[in-house]
Amino acid sequence: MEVNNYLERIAMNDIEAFNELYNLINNNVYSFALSILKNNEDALDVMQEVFITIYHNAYKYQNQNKPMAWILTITKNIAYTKIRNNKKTINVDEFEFITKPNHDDKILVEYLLNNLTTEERNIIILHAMNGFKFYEIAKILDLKLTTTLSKYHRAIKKLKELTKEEENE
Amino acid sequence: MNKIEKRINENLNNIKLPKFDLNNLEKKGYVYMEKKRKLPIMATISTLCVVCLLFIGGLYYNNNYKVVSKVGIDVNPSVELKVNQKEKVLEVVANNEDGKKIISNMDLKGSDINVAVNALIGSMVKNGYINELANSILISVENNDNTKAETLRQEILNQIDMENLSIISQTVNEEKELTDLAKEYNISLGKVKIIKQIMANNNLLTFEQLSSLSINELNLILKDENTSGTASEKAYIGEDKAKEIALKHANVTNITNYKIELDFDDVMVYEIEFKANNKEYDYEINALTGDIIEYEIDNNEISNNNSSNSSNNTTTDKITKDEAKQIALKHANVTNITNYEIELDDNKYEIEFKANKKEYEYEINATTGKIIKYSIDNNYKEPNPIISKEEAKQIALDHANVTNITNYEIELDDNKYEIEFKANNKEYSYEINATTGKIIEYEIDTD
Repeated sequence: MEVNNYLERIAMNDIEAFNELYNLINNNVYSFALSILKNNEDALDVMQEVFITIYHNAYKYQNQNKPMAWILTITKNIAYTKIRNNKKTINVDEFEFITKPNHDDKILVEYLLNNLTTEERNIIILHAMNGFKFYEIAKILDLKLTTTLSKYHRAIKKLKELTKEEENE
Repeated sequence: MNKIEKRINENLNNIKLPKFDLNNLEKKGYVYMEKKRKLPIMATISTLCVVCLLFIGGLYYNNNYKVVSKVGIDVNPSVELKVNQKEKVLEVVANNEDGKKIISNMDLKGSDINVAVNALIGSMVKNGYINELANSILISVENNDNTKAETLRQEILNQIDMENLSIISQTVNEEKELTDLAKEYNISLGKVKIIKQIMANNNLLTFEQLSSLSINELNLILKDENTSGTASEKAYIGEDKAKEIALKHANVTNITNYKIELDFDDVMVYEIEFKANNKEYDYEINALTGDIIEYEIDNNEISNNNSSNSSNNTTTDKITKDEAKQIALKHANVTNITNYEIELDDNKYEIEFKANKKEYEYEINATTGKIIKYSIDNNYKEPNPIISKEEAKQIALDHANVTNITNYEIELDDNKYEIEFKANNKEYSYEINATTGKIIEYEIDTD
């Protein structure tokens, strides 16, 4: 597993490995932090802290073949120490995109961030970004598997309704 | 992942994130890059090795480059250390892909054998090959001098400073039979020897089956008293759960003569025996899934309850084959059966048939029609020959390097072809795996 190898090299002070790992998974960490915090700057701060933690603790990581679960659990723990009075809604224009997203995509991301509950959003983002199995998501989020599944289906239904509306517009 | 999730994935990955500048963060005091911190075991050891090499390097040039012992470590990663007379590591060889992964970052050359063994085991723990579900390690020491091999084996065993491991250790010799098998199955000499040891205790198991098992599984099957520590059974459902499943299925609670054992029969199984209500029960339960693979219930019916009369009995006292068949089918509650066989033996009918992908065996008292015992095997697999008879024949002929043959016979049994023929005044017999076409066994007899 790729991430495992990076962690091993980082444990041996390999700065290059650290930079490569950052480029590989920064969006995964950031998205999950954003999902919890609904705030761009806070999510960026959390992401930085997560990677510093990885850098200092890679040597402690005992491979259970689930390095991403380990990293995203760190992300969750740090993010939950950061929750402040967040803005009620978040505007997609706060983000800098690599390529300009189309109108529909902007609406989808905004809807995801503003209209789903935090748990629904966490589940969707962990699933969509990392390809985790539901039991793995349940473990990271401290939820029951059945809860995770029902919340996931409800969230997908909401998102599907939105995309239908888009089509009708 | 559905369409919407794919779009979410693409959009969230499209968000541009700042570069990570470790140097800058260090200046701000967030990161302490140059500070010493506890190094991982691998880094420590490679540093050690460099030091070792620098110090010792030139001093003992001559006698230090000859391999006198080999130490094999098997978990699933399989690694061999070649050691000189001073017990320093000269070379590290990986026997499989996992082994390569384990040694990829380590430079163990020149380090003491005990340091190297501990480093490798440490790395296997770190990489998840040794964990609480599978804690077995096989250590095999090879030296032309058996006494030296034995001394080194004990020394290594004493120096392993990790808890909760189960270590099988042995000395091995490069006997041709063992090295050939090691090459054929691409496994280490040590693993070959352990498998041979298991086969000596249980002649029903084949080398092919056992070669695919992990060291932890082999350790559990081996049940050797000389193994240090206890092999982990945590990957399995556990004896209590297995017992519960069997008792529930048998629908009994008060049992006597209870016995349970973890064993191997195609898969890891719990073998359970007990008595209840004057019946004897045998269960085989899949140790991973808890599925009942096979069970046998012996009603303790005496098959020949009147032996003095039995010889005088006319056949009219006996139930017919057809009646016996009906008794068995009714009990099994099946109608469509295949591979039906019946035999009268010692005043009891032995009946075998297959139905619903299960294999049934009954013993029925030929006088009373009572079921003496029966067993049901849920694990029956339709044989799955890929190789045709013609192809199997060709494989055998090619191997024997003959063309004109007589007395040719071929039979498919238990997913293998048994082939016999004569040629050039010799008798050939072959066993060929019907799925893979591999020659399992052959014998050539000169007339």
